[in-house]
Amino acid sequence: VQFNSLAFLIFLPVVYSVYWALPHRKQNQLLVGASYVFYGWWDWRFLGLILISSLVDFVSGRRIAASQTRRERRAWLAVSLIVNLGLLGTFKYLDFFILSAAQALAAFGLTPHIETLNILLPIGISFYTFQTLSYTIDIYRGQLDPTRDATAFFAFVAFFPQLVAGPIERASRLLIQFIRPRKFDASLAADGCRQMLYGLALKVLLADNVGLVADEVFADPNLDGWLCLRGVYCFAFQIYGDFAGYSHIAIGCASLFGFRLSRNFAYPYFSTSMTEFWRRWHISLSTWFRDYVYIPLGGNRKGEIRRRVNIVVTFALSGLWHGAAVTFPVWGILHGVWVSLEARRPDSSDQPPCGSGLFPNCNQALRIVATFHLVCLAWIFFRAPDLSSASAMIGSIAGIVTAPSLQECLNLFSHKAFFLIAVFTLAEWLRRDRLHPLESISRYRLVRWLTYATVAAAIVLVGEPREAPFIYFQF
Amino acid sequence: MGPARNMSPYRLLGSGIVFGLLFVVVLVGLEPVMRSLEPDSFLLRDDIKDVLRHEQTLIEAKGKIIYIGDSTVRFHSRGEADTRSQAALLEEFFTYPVLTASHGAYGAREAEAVIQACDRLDCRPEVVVIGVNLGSFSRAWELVPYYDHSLRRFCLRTGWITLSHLWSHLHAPSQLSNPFSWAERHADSLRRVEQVTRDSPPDRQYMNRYGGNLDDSLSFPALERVLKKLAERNQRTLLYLTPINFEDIRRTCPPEQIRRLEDRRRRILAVLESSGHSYLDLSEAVPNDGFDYGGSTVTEHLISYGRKLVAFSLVAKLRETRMGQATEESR
Repeated sequence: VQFNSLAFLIFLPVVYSVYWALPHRKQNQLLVGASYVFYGWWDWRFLGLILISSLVDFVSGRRIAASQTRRERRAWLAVSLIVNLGLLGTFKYLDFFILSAAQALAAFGLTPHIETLNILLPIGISFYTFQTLSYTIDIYRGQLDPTRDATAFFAFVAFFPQLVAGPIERASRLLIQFIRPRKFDASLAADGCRQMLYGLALKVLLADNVGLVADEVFADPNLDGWLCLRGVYCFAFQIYGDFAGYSHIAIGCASLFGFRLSRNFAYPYFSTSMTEFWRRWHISLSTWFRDYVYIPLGGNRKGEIRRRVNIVVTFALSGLWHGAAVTFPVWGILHGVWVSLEARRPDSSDQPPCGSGLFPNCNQALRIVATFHLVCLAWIFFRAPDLSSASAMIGSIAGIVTAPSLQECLNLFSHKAFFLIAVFTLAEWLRRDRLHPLESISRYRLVRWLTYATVAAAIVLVGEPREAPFIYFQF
Repeated sequence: MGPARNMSPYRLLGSGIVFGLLFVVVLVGLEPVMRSLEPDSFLLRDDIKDVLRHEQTLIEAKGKIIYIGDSTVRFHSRGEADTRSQAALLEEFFTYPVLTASHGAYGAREAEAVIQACDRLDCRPEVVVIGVNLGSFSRAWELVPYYDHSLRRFCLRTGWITLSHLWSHLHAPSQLSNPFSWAERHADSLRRVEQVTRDSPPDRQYMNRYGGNLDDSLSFPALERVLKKLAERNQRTLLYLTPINFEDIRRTCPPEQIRRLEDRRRRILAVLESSGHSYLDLSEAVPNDGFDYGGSTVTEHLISYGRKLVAFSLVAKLRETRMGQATEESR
């Protein structure tokens, strides 16, 4: 079920109504059932993969905790890693590796008859695999006790608001919420509704509209430099609106059921450095890679050079996580190199970007613009179908020698896509001290309801109604 | 600020439902505002602009030919010296006023909406000409986001602009990632099927257009409804199968695929035959060199030569069946 569909509009109130009428244990059972329906709506056959992941990690977690020897603990952790990464590797990367092998052999003059398996990628497999893996790894590290409550664990793995595109939650944060009884918190639920509305606006109003421009430009990378640049800007906001929109909807939806999910986006495009960007963009994934890849690699404990290498390796793997194509690791490596070149700085992602002033100072403004453009440069590799298209596009943009005329600038900003980008950027800047711009708008109910109605009307009348699936579903 | 902490979950649900209902009322209230906008206002979506144009066309259609079809009817190929569209050629060759209610990726469901709009606007064209694209009867066509015309269809049927937007948001099905069965052998995803280009292997390109199961198609029953509706209206109608590149298909596709395509054509022709309306099978009327693929698109558009062949065939049929004669004589 897609969040922006009629099916979900019926599904959510039905599950919500039944859920709050049930006692705690039955609530969890309902959530497991509802989550499987939610996922099975797309293709019920892939439910088997979630069941396998859940079952293996539930058993592995308990066996790791019960093991007497280090060897036994490692063996059970290996079971969890092999099964989960095996499923991920088979369904997401096998075709890619087969093709890459064929291309490598072809480079040596060999032409083997190799056929890809043409495997369908199960939606959300990268997300729930990482979520459930963190459970067994945390138990192995002694940071978490295994649960005896199978229903709670299965609900934790398959929780429908964040099942297909995160935020990737840790058991220490989410599983515990399934285990403890939940009480209806009206202000949490009401803010969840507001957050869902804002997420929907980001997706339907911003992402799907600017996506039309981005799709057109990326379909023909040999366009004029200014057009390419326009496409890249649009893609930057498309992927932000799409993914941050999904995260807001997921967090808001979970709030309706009494759950608090992790914040996943904290106004990343107002970051003043690449390091800060990664503390504000897809926070749940970057912290996952920090805790389970970067730190085990040695983190910053083995000298400055090793720290930088570890960062690049971590980002390269993060790129590969996003997709089975050579463009994704390139995207990751670019980010890794940029982050590794920056000086270490304390994490301030829980603070609003650039403080709370109305305007950034000159230094901040320049840094925001520079960071945004570095991110955009990397987005070209992320979005382009292959390296040659990405190179062609960068070549077109680099070939820009004349500044646009005033009329060209005016034409650019009279475009609906750029009008929407400006509106959302302004709204987010002015409300960047909040978790989302619709939080705590006014103490007057009429003002609040008029704002919600305006946003809803804008979604309906200006939003792009063509069903464009969330981009991160494919990762 | 915000709800009381002791508010029950059902009261919040009730508030949501009340908000939803009030919101629909607001949308209804905004309808006159949307109707008062200029037809080319940037505030209107392109689909709605098309609908307003179609409505105007239908209002002016009395005594004229209404030509309903996809991009092959309305547009000419890029870079051609002869820029006359197929509809323009028909008008010229037949010396008869022809109006079009067409847009890209038209299917039988869109034709049905136009006929329903004819009822709503009480419009009675002299003749309705409908191009039936063999490729449009496929889930791979119907579910491509750019080919989803649910907003246009709802607006044409009901005349409501604001509610059409709401409907299209709620209705648009997202099944691009769904498995796609083809010829009982392939399982793929619609997303992948959609991504074929002229550089893809030919059988894959043709699978994109003609490989889907006809019985799964939403357009196939819509075609039957259109034909029934036209008969009920006693509307003089000429239908034709639009040309496809059979020459290339026979050269490049496996026999099984050709058999499926011919089966598809036979079944659609049977439906046209049983409707009692006049029809033409022009699916093989244009040779390979009459097509233009316009860059990477796999859709079989026609160059001037191909468009003329079609227009001549339509004129001949119109003359043969004496359609359009009443107005021609009265002029």
